[in-house]
Order: sequence, then structure tokens, then C-alpha cells
Amino acid sequence: MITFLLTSLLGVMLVGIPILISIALIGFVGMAMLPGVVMPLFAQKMFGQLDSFTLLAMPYFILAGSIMTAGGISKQLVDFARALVGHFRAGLAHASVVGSMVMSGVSGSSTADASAIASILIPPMKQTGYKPGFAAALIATAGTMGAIIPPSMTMVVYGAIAQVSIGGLFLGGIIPGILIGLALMITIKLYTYHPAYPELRVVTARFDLCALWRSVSSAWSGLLAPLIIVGGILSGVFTATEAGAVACVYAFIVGYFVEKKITLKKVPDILVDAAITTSMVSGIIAVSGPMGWILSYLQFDGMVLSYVSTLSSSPTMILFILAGVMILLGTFVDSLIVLLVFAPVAVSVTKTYGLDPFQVGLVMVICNQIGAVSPPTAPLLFITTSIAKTPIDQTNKHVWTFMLAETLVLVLVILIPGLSSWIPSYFLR
Amino acid sequence: MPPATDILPTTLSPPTRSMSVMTTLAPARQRLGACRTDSGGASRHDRNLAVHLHIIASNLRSIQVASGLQRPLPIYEQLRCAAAACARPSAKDEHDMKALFAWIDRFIELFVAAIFLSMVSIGSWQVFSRFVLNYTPSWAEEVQIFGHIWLVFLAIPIAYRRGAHITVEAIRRLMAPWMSKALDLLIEMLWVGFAVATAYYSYRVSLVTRNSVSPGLEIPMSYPYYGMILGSVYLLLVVIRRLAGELPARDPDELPPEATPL
Repeated sequence: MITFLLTSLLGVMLVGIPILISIALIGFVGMAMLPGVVMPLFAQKMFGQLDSFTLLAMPYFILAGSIMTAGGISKQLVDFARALVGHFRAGLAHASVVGSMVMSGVSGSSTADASAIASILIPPMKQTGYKPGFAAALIATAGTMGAIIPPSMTMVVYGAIAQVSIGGLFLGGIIPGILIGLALMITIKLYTYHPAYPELRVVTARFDLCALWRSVSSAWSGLLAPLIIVGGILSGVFTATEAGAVACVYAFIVGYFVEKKITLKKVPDILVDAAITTSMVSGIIAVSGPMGWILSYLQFDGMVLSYVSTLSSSPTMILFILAGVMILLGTFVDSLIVLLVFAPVAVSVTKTYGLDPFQVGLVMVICNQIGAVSPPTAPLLFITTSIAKTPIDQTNKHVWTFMLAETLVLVLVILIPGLSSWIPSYFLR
Repeated sequence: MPPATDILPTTLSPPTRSMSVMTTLAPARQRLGACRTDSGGASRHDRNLAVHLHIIASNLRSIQVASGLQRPLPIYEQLRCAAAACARPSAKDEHDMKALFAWIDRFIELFVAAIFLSMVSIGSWQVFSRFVLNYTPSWAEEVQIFGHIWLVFLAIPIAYRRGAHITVEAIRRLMAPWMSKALDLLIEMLWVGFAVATAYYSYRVSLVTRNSVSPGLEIPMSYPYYGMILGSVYLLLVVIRRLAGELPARDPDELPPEATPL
């Protein structure tokens, strides 16, 4: 029955039925097929899935992100990144990584990061002579930091479903996120020695301390936001959800009173747009309630676990297998679905093998993001490629090196639990 | 001008009504100009006018008969046609429907914005109150959770209306146009089913949960379900409008997002 449900879900989704409807349909059919299920449970499980205070962090961070974007924060942050690393060889490429990194501290979404950075940096990159496919692949991979460096929507979803502290996941993401940024910058550095990429050896700008200072003074609000969010969670002043609400208020105060880029007239539309984005994500989470209930009723996680445990008994190996399966699925299926289906499995793996919940969470999130940049169905690549106006195979050709760099970081996170669990265990316990 | 015999009685009205002719004629005459241009159409409001014109016309006829005139009064024909034009449902009625729907759409959007705004305000108030006033409101978390549920289920139809729900388009791009059309119809049907199932089962659950009281707010636990019902009813309205062609069909050039914005 599980096989039937999951394969039909895959089929229904791939044919082109909206994902929200596909999941609701499968949940409904599954409930109707199980004998002795009272159907109002369908509504009750949708309610139950949203009946969570931790999940509220998501609408708040979505709103904070859209208020800040309306205030033009991404442009300022990219200017800051260019002033900081633009004088390197392949300065624009480095700036796109650093820009994504600082942008990740403001927004919790990799797609938002990738599209913001791509629309600002790809035009000058193409002007300098960068291959459009290279630029698109790089920015898409750099965008994945959006979901790894706090705040992160993916972590909110995982934490809410797996009952893991979201604040802890946020803190655990700091080191892996920065490592991914460094890995990407090293990859760019290696590319500059590649004979086929002469454009990367050109130095386009000179370092200018005054320009750096000017960019800091205009981008201060965006640079301060992650410090407030992470600082507040670290010191225990607020939870991750409250951090989201505070971030909204902060973004509004900065945008309205300081930068004066937001007018009161714009506020309802910003709110409605953020509500639509929320409904797209939370709606899928809600309708996954019935399906998730069926999967746990049929003990899907136990089945996966018992199957995996026949392959190996070492916790590290189990994590590797789990990561491999998630990346593989993520290349074909929307990352949110993989997360919703696999979060309960990850929970039982954590419990059975005594792994650190934050480490498992980080592995899940990074796998999810690697899945989101791996062809053939890679939403982040689609976004940046359409901005770069280049055939998708040009991007696919370049993405492998950057994916490899990110996968190496994933391997490190699996092998060294301290990378993801040290900060949360030090500050939260 | 088409004949309007269907709305005018062939029998004579009682003469007593003729007293009212002079008093009602003046405003009717002013509006006559607007009504005579038939193609412009009459609005919903003008149906009242049609009834008035109809009474006046029949009174005029009784005057004519009573005073022994051979020919009908010249204004009689005009009135008859105007009454017919006003009574006919026309483009303007549809326009009124559209305006009503647009009003509902905007109202729901603003309502959602208001919910979101109050959620954020309460969420940050919670932090402020705990640290400055040293008081943690027990209801704050629950208001936000219930607000989130209302928000999500009311925003799902808005996202549907704007074609924002995530869809995998890879295979659809390869489909023949008729298959794509059939799939669209199937999708709308599934949306109808989703809306009906959610509304009905939420209603069933709300019947049970209205007797239990939520721990924080101390309101019946059926309140969050009312948001699910309201949202589904609105969703149904929007889907039916799309099926009826009132909303534009999916624009093939404007594809929905392919992945959740995580």
C-alpha cells in the first residue's frame, strides 16, 4: 500500500497536477482505502499539521524577507560583497558567493537568494565575459546557503515536523554554511587556473577602503539583521519563532523610518504577497498531514529503518545512505516533499542510533539543497538560468564542480558531528 | 427595438393608477435617455425603473382609451421600449457581478493582510511584554497559531487565483493541446473536490470540537476550523468562476513556480 501511495503520488505530481492537490488527493485516497478510518480525520490532520508554534517562524521569516527586499536590501548587500572581495581575481564570482552568504542571513529561502543575487550580478558577470552557464550554476549553488545559514525556512519545516529545536538547527547551520561558502570560493580559485576560463583571471576592481566603508554604511541594516536574529537565539532572549516576528518589526522600522523605502500604501500588498508564499509552503505542509499520518500508521519509517539497518550498522554509514537516498530523490522530486516524507525517518534514525538531532537535521537540509541544484529538475538552476538567458545544458555542464564542493562539505558534516552540533550544544544546554 | 409585449399587460390597468402618472413621469423621463440607448445595457438597479415604466405605460394606455383617442400617445411607444430594455439582463449586469467578485477578492486579500499584521504584532508584543513588562500573555501563542491556519486556508484561493501553486511542468510541455486542456479540466475538478472535502470535513470536526475549550484563549476549538471552512468556500467560489470563464484561463506563457520557495 505504501508503494502504491508513493508511486501514485510521484506519478500524479509529475503529470502536472499542482503539488498541493496531488498530496491532498493521495492523502484522501489513502484514508478512504484504510478500513475503519473516520473521514473527518482528513480535516483534523490538516489542522494538526499547522497547529504548531514553531512552524510560525516560517511566515514570519517570509514576511521579513519580503519587507527587506521591498526596501532594496539585496542590492546594498551585493554592493558590500563587491567592495569586500571584488578586487580578487574573478572578483564578481567571489562577490556572488559572499553576497549570497550575507543575503542568507536576511532571507531564509534559497530560491529568494538565488533569484536576488542572480538578477543583480549576472548582467555585470556577462559583461565581463563570464560564461553565462558558469555564472548561473555558481549563483544557484551559492543560493543553497540561504537554507543553511540561519534563518532558514527548510530548517523550520524540518524542525516543526521532526520536533527538533529550530533555534538549535539555526545555530548548527552557521559553521556548515560558512564552510560551503569557503568551498565554493576555493572552487572559483581553482577555476582561475583552468586554461579555458581566461575571463576569471582578470582583475576588474581595486580595493578601496572608502568604498567598503560607504557600502557598509548603506548596508548596515541588512548586516545587522542576522546578528539580531542569531544573537537573540544564542542568548535565549527569544525563540526562533519570536525571532521571526522581531525580524519583521526590525525590517519594517528600518524600511519605513530609516531608509524610507517602504510606504504605508505598499504594506497591504507586501503582506498579501508574503501570505501567498506562506500558503504555497504551509498549504503543502497542511495537506501533507493526512498523507504523513497514513505513512506513520503503516510504519513507513520503521520499514525504511529496518531495510537500511540490514545494509550497515555504523551510524555514519546509515547517515551516508540516508543522504544518498535524499539527494537522489531530490533530483527528481520537489525538495519540500522529500523533506516531509523523510523527516520522520530521520527522527527514528536519530533515536535508534543515538545521533545528534542537529547533525541529522543539518545533513537533511544540506542534502535537500544539493537535490535542489542537481539536474534534471533543479529549481535553483531554472531560476538562475532563466535570468542568465542561456540554454539549461550550459548551466548543467558547470554545476557539477560546485555540487562536488558542496557534497564535500556534506561529507565533512557527516564525519565530524561537532561541525553542526558544537554551537547549539554549547549555547542551548 | 424588439417588441416588448411579454412584459406589458394587454389588459388595461385600473384607472385609479392614472393619478400617479404625472408625479412619476418626470424622473422616469430623465432616465429615459439613458435607457433608450439599448446597446449600453441596463444595470441591475434599472429593473426597478422597468417596473415603473411599465406601470406608467399601462396608465398612459388607459388614459388614451378613457379619453377616446384613436392613436396611442407618442410617448407610449418610447416607454414600452425603454421598459423592455431596462428589464433585459445585459452586459452591465455581468459587469456588476464582476465588480462584486472583485470586491470580494479585495476584501479577502485585505482580511488576510490584517490577520498577518496582527499575528506579527502579537508575536513581537509577546517578546516585548516578557522582557519589559515581565508578563507572558498565555493567549498570544494560540492567537498566532489559529491566525496562521486562517491565513493559510484563505491565502490558498488567492494563490490559486494568481496561478501561484507549485506545479511540475516538464511533462505537460510535451503534451498535445487537447491533452493539456483535459488535464486543466481535471485539475479544476480536483480543486473542487479538495474544497468540498475540506469544507465538509472541517465542518464535521468543528461540530465535535466546539464543545472543547482551547487552553490558552479559552475559546471553542472549532474556531480555527471555521477558517478552513471559510477558505474552502472561497476557494470553491474562485474555482467555479474559473470554470465558468469569469476568471481568465491559465496563461500558457506564464507558468507557475516549479518548486516550493524554500
